[in-house]
Amino acid sequence: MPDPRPDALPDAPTGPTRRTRTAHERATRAAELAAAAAPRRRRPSPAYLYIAPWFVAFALFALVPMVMSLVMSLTDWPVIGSPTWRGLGNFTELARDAQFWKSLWVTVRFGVVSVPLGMAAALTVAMVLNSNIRGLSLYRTIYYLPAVVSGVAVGLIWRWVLDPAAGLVNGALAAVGVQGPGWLTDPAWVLPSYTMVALWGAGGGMLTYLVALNEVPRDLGEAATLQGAGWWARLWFVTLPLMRPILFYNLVMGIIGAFKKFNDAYVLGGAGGEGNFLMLHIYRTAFEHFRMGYASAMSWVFLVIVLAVTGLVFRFSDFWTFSRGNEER
Amino acid sequence: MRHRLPTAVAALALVLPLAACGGDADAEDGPPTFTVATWANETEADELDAILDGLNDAQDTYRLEQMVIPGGEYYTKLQTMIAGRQAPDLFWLSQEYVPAYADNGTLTDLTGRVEDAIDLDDYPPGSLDPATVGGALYGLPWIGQPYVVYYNADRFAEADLAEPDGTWTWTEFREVARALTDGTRYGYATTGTPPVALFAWGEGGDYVTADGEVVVDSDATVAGLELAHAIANDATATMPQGLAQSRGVESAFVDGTVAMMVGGAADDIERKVAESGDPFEVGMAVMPAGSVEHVTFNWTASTVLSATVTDTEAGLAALTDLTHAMFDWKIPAPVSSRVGDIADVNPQKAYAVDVVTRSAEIARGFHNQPQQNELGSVIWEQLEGPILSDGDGRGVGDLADLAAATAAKMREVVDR
Repeated sequence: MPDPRPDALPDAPTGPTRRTRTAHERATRAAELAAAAAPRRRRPSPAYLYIAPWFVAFALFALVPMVMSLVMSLTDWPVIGSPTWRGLGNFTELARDAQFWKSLWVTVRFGVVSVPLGMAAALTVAMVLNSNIRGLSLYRTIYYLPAVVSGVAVGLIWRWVLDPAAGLVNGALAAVGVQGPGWLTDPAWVLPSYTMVALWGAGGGMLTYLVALNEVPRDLGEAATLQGAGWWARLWFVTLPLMRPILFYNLVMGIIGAFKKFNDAYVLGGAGGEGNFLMLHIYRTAFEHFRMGYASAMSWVFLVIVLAVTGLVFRFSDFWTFSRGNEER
Repeated sequence: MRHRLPTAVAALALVLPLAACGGDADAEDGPPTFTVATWANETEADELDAILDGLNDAQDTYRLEQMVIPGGEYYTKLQTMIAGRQAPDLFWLSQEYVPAYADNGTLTDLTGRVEDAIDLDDYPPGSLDPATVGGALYGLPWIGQPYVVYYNADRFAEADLAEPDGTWTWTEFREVARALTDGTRYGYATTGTPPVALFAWGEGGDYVTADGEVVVDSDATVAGLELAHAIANDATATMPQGLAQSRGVESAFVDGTVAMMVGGAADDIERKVAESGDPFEVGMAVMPAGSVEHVTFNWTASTVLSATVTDTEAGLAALTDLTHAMFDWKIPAPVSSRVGDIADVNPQKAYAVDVVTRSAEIARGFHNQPQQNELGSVIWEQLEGPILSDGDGRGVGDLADLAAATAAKMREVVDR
């Protein structure tokens, strides 16, 4: 039970002897307490103002465009003219648009191939760079560099590397007497080309794997070794289970990244529509075919698809979370 | 009181970005200033700036300023500017974009308003038609590049063949290509140049008529498509498609692997051959004729005047003056009286002035529609790509069926 008397409040220690309060001090203290207890109008924290620019930018450049995009998806708007109401016409047209489904298929195929390969490549590089070799920092920097290069620059570099006539790859192949393929000009080689580009940029994921590898307790690996486990068994039964959360994170980000593929595809292209990824198809529909309304409808369907796939992955998130329960299962 | 400083800082952070969205008010007295949007590269932009400076110094009706937009993002930025009510006053448009912009009310109708300042009769029909939509003129072409056949004259001599004199047909072209093909070298190569439509035109067909009717499935067009398919996939005359794509047609011509290729009349082929390791004599010939019509493709681009320009008279004066000035530039002018100037622009073309002149006379563009880019995608994906690659080596079946399926999709786009 708290003591309501003002003078019952604890005083700060003042030294070895307690000083007796004067009547004036007690009165002042009581007034302060009364003021604290009384309901008052709280002043807004200046923190709101500090974060306001972010909210304003988010509203202006994300929320409002999203809402406008939803409205646009119900119209026929040629960008350089006036929109006309179309209702759900864009969505019904989308259902039977072979080009849209083909670009979705191209994107899904790329994701299915490149995401696991990219994760495996990044993990492999991380494991190599987790050892004590000379120049470790230099190697880590080199492998991470692609992650900080802009997608357009990457596209321009690879356009030269994969050029069928004057490219680095076909030049090297020609030097050993092999006629290189039309990497981006032969439909059959477009997906392998993009996978190659994706693997080149796998260093971005490497960094997170390195952190995860460093967090795997050494004693577990040593205990497994004492019990006769080889390198593969230690990797499979000790290291990878402990890295599940980071693998899960990279899987989700990889899937989203694969669906959002645009920059290098915009620069590189690809014969037979094999480089026409969904984001690129949406862009072309809006700005080259003058169908911003239809492209907006595509964007919303695309959002639903990405949410569904990501949700599906999260549905199995238990598998990716290491716990005693998982171990027992 | 102690919250005032952070509050002021936060408020400033809010206001500054918004303030940056504003623009300078154009309240200067004097002639109107028009912005000219171009896709010129750095060198071209400098040259064009000099042209604009000359025009600005020569009169007091208007002033011109160039806005260079990189080619890769030219149309995206242009459309965004137009949608944001910030359209440049004058801008370049490649021929396939003119109908879409005209159809959406973005361009000023020039019909009957520029004839006093520019001789429209000097334009061959193949140059002016792409700037005309529904009988109305919406742009003044400033460049025209008819397609021609480049050939390796040394290979012709080696095979004891007479060099083409401009009267040949596609059938004769194919025979010549066969005679120039041996185990490692090919008579011809193509990956899409010239456009397959050219073969349809030569047989009296078309993809879309001037009235906008889709006729890609007509008998005459199908005959042209069959001709294109036969030549492109004749292994005894033409480099296989996969090899042509991996080698690059121009590279294969320059290094002597291919004896004939099609390109723009102003393409810098002669210099590239001269600078190659094993130079040869380059010849230029008029495109072979079809069984019905002798025709070649003409790539053109126009300068257009935005419909948002309020001082239209000054805008029209700026447009016509600029067009005249650009005819004196280094580009191949799209008017009959200046075709021969190609030798002044590039002395290495002097040997071919007659061929370029003849090609300009028979050159034409597509009957572009407002949905041209979308139609182009359909045509390439469903028709021309499979024809050139023989369905990626699997064959294309009955071309009449392929054309009918393409026509159905095209009609869907046009009728939407």
